Amino acid sequence: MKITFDRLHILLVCNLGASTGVMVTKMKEIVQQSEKLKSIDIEIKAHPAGELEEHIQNFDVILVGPQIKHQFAHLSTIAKQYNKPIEVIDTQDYGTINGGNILKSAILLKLNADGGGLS
Amino acid sequence: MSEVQPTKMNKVIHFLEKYFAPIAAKVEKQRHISSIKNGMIGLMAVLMIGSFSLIIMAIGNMFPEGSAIRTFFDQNHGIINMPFQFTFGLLSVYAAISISYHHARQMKIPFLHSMIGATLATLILNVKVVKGALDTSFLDSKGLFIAIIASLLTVEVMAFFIRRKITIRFKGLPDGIAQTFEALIPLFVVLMLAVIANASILYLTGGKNLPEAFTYFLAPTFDSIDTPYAIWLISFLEMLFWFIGLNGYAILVGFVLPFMTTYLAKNAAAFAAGEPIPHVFAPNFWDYFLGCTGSGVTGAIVILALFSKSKELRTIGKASSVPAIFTISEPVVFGLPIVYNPYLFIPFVFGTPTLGVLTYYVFKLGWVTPPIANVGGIPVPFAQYLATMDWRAFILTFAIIAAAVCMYYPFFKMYERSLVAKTKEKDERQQAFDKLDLDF
Repeated sequence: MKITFDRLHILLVCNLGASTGVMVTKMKEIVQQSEKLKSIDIEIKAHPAGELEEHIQNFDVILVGPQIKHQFAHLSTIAKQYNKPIEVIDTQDYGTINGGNILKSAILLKLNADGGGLS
Repeated sequence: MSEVQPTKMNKVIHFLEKYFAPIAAKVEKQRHISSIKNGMIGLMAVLMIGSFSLIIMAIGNMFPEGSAIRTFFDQNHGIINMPFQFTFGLLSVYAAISISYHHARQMKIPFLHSMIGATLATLILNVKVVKGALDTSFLDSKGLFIAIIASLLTVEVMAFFIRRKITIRFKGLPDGIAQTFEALIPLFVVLMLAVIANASILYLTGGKNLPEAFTYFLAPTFDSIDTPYAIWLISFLEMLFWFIGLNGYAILVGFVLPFMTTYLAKNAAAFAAGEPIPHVFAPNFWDYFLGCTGSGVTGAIVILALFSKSKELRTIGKASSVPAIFTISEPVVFGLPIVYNPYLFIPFVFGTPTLGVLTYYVFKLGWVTPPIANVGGIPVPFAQYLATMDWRAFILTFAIIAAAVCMYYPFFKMYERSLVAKTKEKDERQQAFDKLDLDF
């Protein structure tokens, strides 16, 4: 699979926006060190779930912290209104702060959403 | 069905997380309950060494009447019975020592005089003076509740005086001696309060002391926990706590252990006297029958995991099988996991108490002798045998495990299926990741 987009702004949402902060730092580090992502405009931010509607327009994909999985139904209706792909972060990746995996799933999420839009 | 049910269960789980977990945390931290719990757990050591003579007695009883060995046992009954008499027979004294120690520790006041004060109060309230001699017959389980209350109150009184510095203090004394002087006033107050309480009870009841009055008025309450309803409820709450990842036994045992200890003492006394065993809900009933192979009869889940299709579950099964034999459930509870696992909620939380009530009836109907001794740290099924000294306990143990295997089977399979699907999903995800061909 080839990366077909040149911009990927990722929004992580969790309870207060604090616990995903560590994850954001980790993911940004990976982006900086990666040669293959150099040509892509990547932005990663964390916000509280309650503020999703304020920020959603500036982002391309939404990732939800697994600790607020129970709010996913509500969050995904918002995301659908703005036509943004949304997904819950894998619990294990989240627990082990596996920023690489989460970045990859964000890329896949975007690719699948774009592909789904075309077909 | 396997899809719908867990989603509904998730709501239940979120409800529990939100409202139940904070209550659990508060109960466990409450200082009196926590002191009773720790004190009674410390007391278990006394019960275990005392049970030793019951087990020896039971071995003697295995030999036919008139045989040389049986005659030897009968002739030396007094000596063999001695460990029992000085442990179970003086239970209230040890309870006072153990509980006051833990309570003083918690209240952060010196231990020694708190323990002396608590023992003093317990003795005054539980011992009757008959013709100038001390009648110690109420120092067994009959005085247990009074010992608990007296110990807690004594430590509270001592703490009250010591914290407000209403004590005798001399400057420049070495610490040890200073503490003795410091204890004088509070100890005297404790002594006076106990004497006044005792005298008023004797006066009001026409010669009954506190344990006699207590059993007279509260006898129905005492037996109230040894019923199928109470066992179901206690076990249900325990499993609910476990399900949200808290040690339910540790939270509830503070309330239940005093009752269970009383039942055990009565059972042990009945056994020593060759009478029918009156109670079922002794501590070992909870430890080894209700919680056979671990709270929730989790050994059954270990067995299912050992024969599972999922490699992940088999690994957990292997890792938690030895702990299960020693009645330790944590590895499987947190490893499988059972906690917050919607698939296992129904059998774990509702099935366990139901199995427990069935087991209660097995004892109640006399099919197996209820626990008469108290053992710990012994592997399944020998613990069950030693606690009851009845070979039928072996059969019961395997029957409980077999019933639990049947109970968990359909739910376990549902979980297994979801896990296999998830593993497949994970593999596919990893492949998709690899296809991205990124450098991290």
